[in-house]
Amino acid sequence: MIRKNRLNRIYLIAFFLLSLGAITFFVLRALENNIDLYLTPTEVKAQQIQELEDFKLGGMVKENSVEMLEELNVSFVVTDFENEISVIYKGVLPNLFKENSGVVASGFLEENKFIAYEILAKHDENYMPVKLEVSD
Amino acid sequence: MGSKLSYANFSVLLIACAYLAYQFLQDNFSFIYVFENSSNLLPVFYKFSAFWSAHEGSFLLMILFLSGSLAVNNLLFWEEKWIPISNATIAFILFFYLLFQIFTSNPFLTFDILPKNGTDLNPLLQDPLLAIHPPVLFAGYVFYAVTFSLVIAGLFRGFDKELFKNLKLWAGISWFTLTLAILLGSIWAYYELGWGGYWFWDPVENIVLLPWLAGTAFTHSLIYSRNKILLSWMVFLGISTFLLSILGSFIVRSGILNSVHSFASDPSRGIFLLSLFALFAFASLGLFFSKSVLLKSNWPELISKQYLLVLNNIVLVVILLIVFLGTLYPIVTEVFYNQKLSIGPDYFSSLITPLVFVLIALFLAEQFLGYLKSNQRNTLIISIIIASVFLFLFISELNPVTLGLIFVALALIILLLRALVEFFSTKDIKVMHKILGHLSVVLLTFSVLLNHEFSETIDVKLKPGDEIEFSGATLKLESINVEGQANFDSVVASFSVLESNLKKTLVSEKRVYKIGGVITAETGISSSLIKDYHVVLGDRYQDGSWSIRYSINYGIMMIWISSILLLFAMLYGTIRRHGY
Repeated sequence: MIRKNRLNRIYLIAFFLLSLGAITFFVLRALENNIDLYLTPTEVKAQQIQELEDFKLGGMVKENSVEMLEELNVSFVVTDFENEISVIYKGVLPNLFKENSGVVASGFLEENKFIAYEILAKHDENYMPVKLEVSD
Repeated sequence: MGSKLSYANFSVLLIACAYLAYQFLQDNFSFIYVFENSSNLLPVFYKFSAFWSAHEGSFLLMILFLSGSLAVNNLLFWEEKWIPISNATIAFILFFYLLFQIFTSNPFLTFDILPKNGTDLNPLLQDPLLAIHPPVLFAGYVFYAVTFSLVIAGLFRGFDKELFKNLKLWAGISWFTLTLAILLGSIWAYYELGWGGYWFWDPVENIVLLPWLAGTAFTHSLIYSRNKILLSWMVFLGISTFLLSILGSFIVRSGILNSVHSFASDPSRGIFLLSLFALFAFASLGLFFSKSVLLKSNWPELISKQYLLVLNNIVLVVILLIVFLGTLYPIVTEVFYNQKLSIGPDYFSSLITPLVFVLIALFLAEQFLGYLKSNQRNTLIISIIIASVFLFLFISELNPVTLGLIFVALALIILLLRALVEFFSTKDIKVMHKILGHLSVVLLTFSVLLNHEFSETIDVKLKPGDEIEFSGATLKLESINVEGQANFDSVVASFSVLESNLKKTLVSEKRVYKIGGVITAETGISSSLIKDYHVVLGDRYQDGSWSIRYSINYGIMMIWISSILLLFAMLYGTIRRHGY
């Protein structure tokens, strides 16, 4: 009886270790593939590049910069009060999107312009658009 | 003595809450909290629900619930052996929560002057679903404090039949409540937020999923606990579930996570809650490791129900760790490397989906355990191998999601047939809640996959009278009107969807609230069992046309239905044993 119990434990431990190894491998791989960097215009400019693949651009929508173009294209400027980047987006803007309030855009940098495929306007506890703090 | 004090505590807190609620109903804006969250124009129902619409009130409500469940526990559970320790544990938690309430989030602060009107309740919260979602969520959280206190009592005085009975009751109720809260939140996100989805793997959502997963593992680990199978594991889960629920409130309230829903972030609140978490974690885990050696646990036999239960628990805990890592990794990189980042939803779905399939395979194995054990075992193994080789040849050209859909559909049919055969041959189903619960989880998985695989979205620009053809159906913008309500003005757009001679009308709205000028959208949705048409009104253009987000979402109704079935199974499974 003791022997059988011990065998069970050995099975269980071996199975557990094997799965643990496999899971760690998959988790790390998935983590690596799905990291979206969150950058401000200053951080983008600091890299001195024209193109950059998928990342999230965060900042404030600059006052009087929102322009409705033909089709469903919209252009606006994201600023962190030091540097700014112009953004082009095609689609419906979220309700909380407003000039002078926080925005997070997912997309990529091409020829110094940010092409967004998703726009999120941040909302706080009171569900108003968040005013970003001026970073020093 | 202890029980009388708990009733007294509850009564006093109830009076405090009633007093605050009364100020809301009376529009007494000299209370800062009332001023910030209500207004003259608000309908009475929302004046009442505004009570828990922001941090201070919602925390007070949570404390009221904690105190209430302490009183109920004293009412139901009269075993002298455990109740003093259980009461002491909850009183300890209550004490720190009240300190937190009084010193960092007092809702009873007043102005010197009396403002004429308040700044109104956040428009997105002016929704019946969201009015009840937070209280249900807090209730789920605090009920787990009761299971925690019972587990602690068990650590000191030993586990017994009576204690297990009470533990199972509270674990079941907490699990049910937390599930209901998550479902309500999902429904709200889908219908009110207009994001077109029900789950976004956003940190604030994940943080609720953590205690839910731990609670699911905990409830399952209780099933065979009376045979002392992995008793110390059960205790560990009971403690973790509670700790994760505190961690959740710390992370949500402190605002350290980069979420779309950022709640009021106040560093002093964050530090207090983090210290509270550290205190509870050290105390309870310290106690666990010093006492757990005393709990004699048995190991289950290979290929037995208990063994499958252990596997189920392992899978659930692995899912928990995946969610935990994905949610907290951004905090680690921000604190240590000053690098802001977020983890995309693919991380979660790609890792968790295969594990959910493993869970479903375990449901199946559990149903056919008899065959696995008996002499027919070899026949069964051979037939499974033949079937899988055949299936593999047949489906090697299909994509993984279709493969998953086929697997889940097969599992659903097999489980359903098995249950029907059992019902018609014996006129009864053994452990009905288990069968129903597992069936609804399989159905839920199926609907989620369906939704993920087939749903489509398009952004268009339409003028009144315009039509658009998309995915086999025609969407027409019928008319746009402006209407006025008590506390908001709204633009109402009527749409019609025509598919194979079946016409459906959808109404989508855009509201501008009179106080603060906040704009919200009311989604236009037309549902059927298989698919939903979903229209969100965007912005108006110079030429009189409107931008519109039009989606066809599959399986949404099935997701709600299977979740509600799951809730029934949980409720029935909880009360069945107790004969209430």
